[in-house]
Amino acid sequence: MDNEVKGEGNSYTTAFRMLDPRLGRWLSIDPVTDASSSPYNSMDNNPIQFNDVLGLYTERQAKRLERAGKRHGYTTTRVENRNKEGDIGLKFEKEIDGVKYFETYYSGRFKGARNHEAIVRLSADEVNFYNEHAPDEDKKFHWYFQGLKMGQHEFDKLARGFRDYQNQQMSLPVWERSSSQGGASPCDGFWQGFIGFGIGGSTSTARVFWSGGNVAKTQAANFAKSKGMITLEMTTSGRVMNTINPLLPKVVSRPIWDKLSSNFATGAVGEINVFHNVAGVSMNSTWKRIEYKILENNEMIFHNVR
Amino acid sequence: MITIDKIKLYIRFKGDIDGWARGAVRKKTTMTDEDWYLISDLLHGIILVEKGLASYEFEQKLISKLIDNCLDQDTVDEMKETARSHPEFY
Repeated sequence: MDNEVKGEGNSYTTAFRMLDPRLGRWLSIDPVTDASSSPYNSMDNNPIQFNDVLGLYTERQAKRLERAGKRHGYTTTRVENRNKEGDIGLKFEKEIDGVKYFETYYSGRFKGARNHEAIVRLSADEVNFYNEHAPDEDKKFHWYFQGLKMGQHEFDKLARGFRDYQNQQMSLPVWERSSSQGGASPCDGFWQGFIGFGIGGSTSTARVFWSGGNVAKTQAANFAKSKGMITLEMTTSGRVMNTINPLLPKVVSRPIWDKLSSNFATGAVGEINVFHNVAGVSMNSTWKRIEYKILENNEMIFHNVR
Repeated sequence: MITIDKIKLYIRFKGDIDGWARGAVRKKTTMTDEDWYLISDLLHGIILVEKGLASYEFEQKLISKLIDNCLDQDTVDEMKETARSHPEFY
């Protein structure tokens, strides 16, 4: 089709993007963006020196990413993707409060065995954390993640959820990924936020709460976005839970949401905004059961929505 | 319109409207915020009547509200059964 319209050889298709060689421009933005250049440029505007086989980043952009990482206090190293030949990734490492975090971004897709490995890593960490914190009756949690009670279909769905999340992260410059998600460091992404039940939000960011269904939830989110505030669903952990929530049994997801709500309320300082449905506040709602008890001494601005 | 499926969903989330708004798979349900509040309201009404704490007029209004908003008689029965068997919801 493209050859018919544009003429033979006038459009190149890579794994991720399509290039118009006459313009020297990609037709969609770079999945791996670099803050110092246009996301539409190709081969760093220098096709003689550089190549970009997958349509992601060039050698020079990789160097830039490494330098940016170093400027932000990260050790950056090149690592080979052992699940995909010829795919070189960048590994960012940093030690924060004695805990070492790392995250690796490959130039190829995040799929197949690598996701499998990620799930297994989640299992081990999740089990440790959950066994430490969960009430006794919920100790069965880890069975769902270790594949013993999870069929291949559910496992694939879970992997897809993680992959979507990773892809969403990939659309941001690497050093901005967590901060734009309210995290403390580039490595404070998926794993730390989720495993640690961390909220991943700065304590200085004003928090917005809601109660009373989807209308209140949506209006709280819109308000938070417009004012530079955050709701629980906008935090790293909230986003992760939103992604994997449909795949988890209620007995697992409910205590996680409750714990996240509790942490979110505990971390709120100063004035807070609360969106309520005019129909009233349910006694069984998360707000009434958990958040209000923690926040009752804070100054609250109530917004009634219908 | 209240259906047995919606009542089951309400039970599944233990009456927590916030939990439902966060966790429900949207494509699989037609439940709305209004439905949720209506179920909650009807459950409260049923238990008030059954405990003899409501006036005759309230009871008559509740009966007509149940008939108007529930899909069929089975749904009305399910609503009454839920009110009796799940006192933790109100």
